[in-house]
Amino acid sequence: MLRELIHKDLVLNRNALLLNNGLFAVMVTALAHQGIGGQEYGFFSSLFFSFTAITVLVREDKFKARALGCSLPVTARGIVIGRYVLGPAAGGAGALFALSLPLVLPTSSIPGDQILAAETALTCISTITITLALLVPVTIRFGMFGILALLVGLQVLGVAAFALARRFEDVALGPGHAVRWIASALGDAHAALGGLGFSLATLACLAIVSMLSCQASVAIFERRRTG
Amino acid sequence: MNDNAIEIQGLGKRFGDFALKDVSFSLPRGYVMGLIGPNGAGKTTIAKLVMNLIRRDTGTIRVFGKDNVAAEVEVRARIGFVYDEPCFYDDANLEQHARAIAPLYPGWKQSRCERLADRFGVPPRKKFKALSHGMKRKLALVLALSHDADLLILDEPTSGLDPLFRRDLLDCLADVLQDEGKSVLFSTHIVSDLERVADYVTFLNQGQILFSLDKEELAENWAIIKGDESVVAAVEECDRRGIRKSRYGVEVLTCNVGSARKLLGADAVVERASLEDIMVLMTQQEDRHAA
Repeated sequence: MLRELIHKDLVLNRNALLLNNGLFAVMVTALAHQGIGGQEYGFFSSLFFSFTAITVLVREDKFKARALGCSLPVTARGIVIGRYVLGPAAGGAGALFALSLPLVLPTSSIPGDQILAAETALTCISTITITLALLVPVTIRFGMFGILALLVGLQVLGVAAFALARRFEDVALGPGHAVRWIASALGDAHAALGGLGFSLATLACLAIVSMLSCQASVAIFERRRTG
Repeated sequence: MNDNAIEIQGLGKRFGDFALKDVSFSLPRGYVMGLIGPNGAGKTTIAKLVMNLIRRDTGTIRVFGKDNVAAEVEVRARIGFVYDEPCFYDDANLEQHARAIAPLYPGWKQSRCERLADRFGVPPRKKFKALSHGMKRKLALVLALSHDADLLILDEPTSGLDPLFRRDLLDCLADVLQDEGKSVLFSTHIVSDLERVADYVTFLNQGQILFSLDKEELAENWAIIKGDESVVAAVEECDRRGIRKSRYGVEVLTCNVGSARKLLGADAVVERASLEDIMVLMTQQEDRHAA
């Protein structure tokens, strides 16, 4: 049933997905020439391509097509899980495509060993999982305008945080310090657990986050569907 | 084998200040039931409850003998549903919609879909947004009929269509139904649509069933008696279903025309009650009682 549901989403959103992912392909190609590190490149590439599932949800809301999906011989849980499979699959495929670019493009500024490093793969998986875990429930609950408001709000928040960080650089509780504290905590965990242990612990945490998000999305979807 | 396509018992659902109360009726296999009533009567709510698109508060719904919640997937596979509002992708055409949903239905037949599209005159490669309102309805019908559903639930399929297009759509539908003996629950407030296709009529007002009867029985026993005030007194109170007074006289809707004829004799002016007459007179009476 999952395969059929994903097939439905891909057929009905084919043009929009081709357009979006084509645009992302151009963006990551440009990014491969910007002189950034492998992990940063992996982060942005995965972020772009993880929007496939969000595009599907947004279009479903835009065309009020949820009713169509709900009248098909499938369960609400199946519909939601379909999106949680499609998201990482499309995000992962997009990230693999993006990561292959620096390896095949002679003009790319990103060294191949950084692309092939385990940290880059972990960054990609984390980005895709966390993006979907946060955005899928919000999109199911608040629809197209909700997700647009959230994305615009996050950008405004980011700009404000950046401005605050510059203004209060020496204040201990400033946003810059918070980011540095998180980075330092992750660094400590990495040192304590070792490379493999840290990777396994991260993957386990991501699996839990993803499962919790999926449960929340199913509950929201059921509630919105059944009134 | 269960002989009913739909069996509803004691169904209840509350939404804010609207409530569907103790709704019970059944639709035998192979027949067409018209679900009529004014806007806001609860027709769409019943259709959605049968599809398990909204959760019922009380009661039971069995489709082909199976509980529609416990056997949700199995039940939906046997139903073709047409919504009262379009729910298709604007930038996709009939072919794409069919290709997307076909694998989810075990009984989908592509040749049938193509034949129906041809019969209904729906262009297979025209985007949904470029279709006229009537064509959009026909596209929904083509998709609902292509998996060889045993039960069709059509929620206001003709609303917003002009009379010519409505007639055309109903003719197409009647052709398919006549050939294949499917069960149909057809909700509408345009009651004239049902005169030609329905076998049973269920009348709903303010969330309650006022009657659920064979159309033949309605035609035989229900009538409008015209006259002066004496007509009101002549029709037994228990048989009176509605009264309309105007400066030209009084019209009484009775559900026992035989008895009224006996009481009034040859002086009575008795006319056949159309479904529209029944709906208007009963709704007015119910609204007066409610007020």
